[in-house]
Amino acid sequence: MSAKNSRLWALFRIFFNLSAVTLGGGLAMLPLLRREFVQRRGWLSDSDMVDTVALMQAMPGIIAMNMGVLLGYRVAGVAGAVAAVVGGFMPPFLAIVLLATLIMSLQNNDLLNQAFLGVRAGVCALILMAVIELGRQILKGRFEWLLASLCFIAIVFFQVNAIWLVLLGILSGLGYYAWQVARLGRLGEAGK
Amino acid sequence: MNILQLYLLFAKIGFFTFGGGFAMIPFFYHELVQNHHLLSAEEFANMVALAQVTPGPIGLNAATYIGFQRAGIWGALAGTLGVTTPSLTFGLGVAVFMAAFKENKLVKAALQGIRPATLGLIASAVIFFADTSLFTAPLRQLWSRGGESFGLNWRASLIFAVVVFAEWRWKCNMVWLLFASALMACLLYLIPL
Repeated sequence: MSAKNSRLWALFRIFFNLSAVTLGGGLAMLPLLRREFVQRRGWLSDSDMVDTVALMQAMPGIIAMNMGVLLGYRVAGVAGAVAAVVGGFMPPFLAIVLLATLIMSLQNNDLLNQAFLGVRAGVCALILMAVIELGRQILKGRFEWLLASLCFIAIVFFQVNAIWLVLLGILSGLGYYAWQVARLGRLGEAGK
Repeated sequence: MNILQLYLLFAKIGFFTFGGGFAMIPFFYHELVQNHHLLSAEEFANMVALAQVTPGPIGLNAATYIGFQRAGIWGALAGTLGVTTPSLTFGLGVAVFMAAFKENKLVKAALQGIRPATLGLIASAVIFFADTSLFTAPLRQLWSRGGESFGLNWRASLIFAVVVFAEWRWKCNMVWLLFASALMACLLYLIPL
């Protein structure tokens, strides 16, 4: 196998394995990816990883897939990105198809319904804790509080389509920046 | 709903989701439950709960599951590809032009707004799950219809309290907490009180 092909195969395997063992997805993969890419193989430096993570937050879509694209591309170009994505979506695909078949045949089972009620309550609690944790990082001032509350109320009480709220977020972010620039009169000072 | 529609639906959801997993819930809910009536609110909540306890990213699992339920194995593939499309197009573009993107002031400014908006979306997912577990009627009806049918499901509330406490006190593994929730619910159901 050529060096290029062995890299592609390694990327596929890394993302396949990570996707199969990481439950809950997304950022939980980060320490494992760092071990593979930085420590074990030396493909990237720690500051490459930090840049990638920062960039990833500006990208729409699934975090784990975006990570696959960014890291795969850096290591082996477009083919690397594709290898990582395909590796990443295979285990959940197989797991879900098997599980869905099972669940669909068990529908309307009383005990299963109760188990699901319990899991829904548990998920509710976990999301609440995630919101508190994220809120500590994100809600730094009045602008952030106002925007977050507005989006929350719009969805819960007025059932607004979330797409409009993301667009609102983008526009308010740009507007807020423009306002900061105008107020400070200097580009360099804004955004701090 | 045919395969192409499934693909387009999930691609659309993918393109507007920032911040991954939980932030996708309001988008999925709006499209699948409110717009297309593919699932009931409770079925949708079960689907998300299931996506939590299976390996892989939540958004990917949810798209695969719904696709499979609607149109079998090809539907599952359409859902998976749809929700992965943003990464393979926009994401790849970002990877190629990484240097230009990283320090762009406008990108940073937009992010300053996207982050709080996403937080609001995730917070709304808490209410959505409370509506389908803790509460006996959706919270928003408290104002429109008064509190007549509104109440708390004590079993779900107890499990909710236990999980909040366990997560706050010990930072447990999420999946074990959810399996424990399922077990608690079954025990509370089997033991007559």
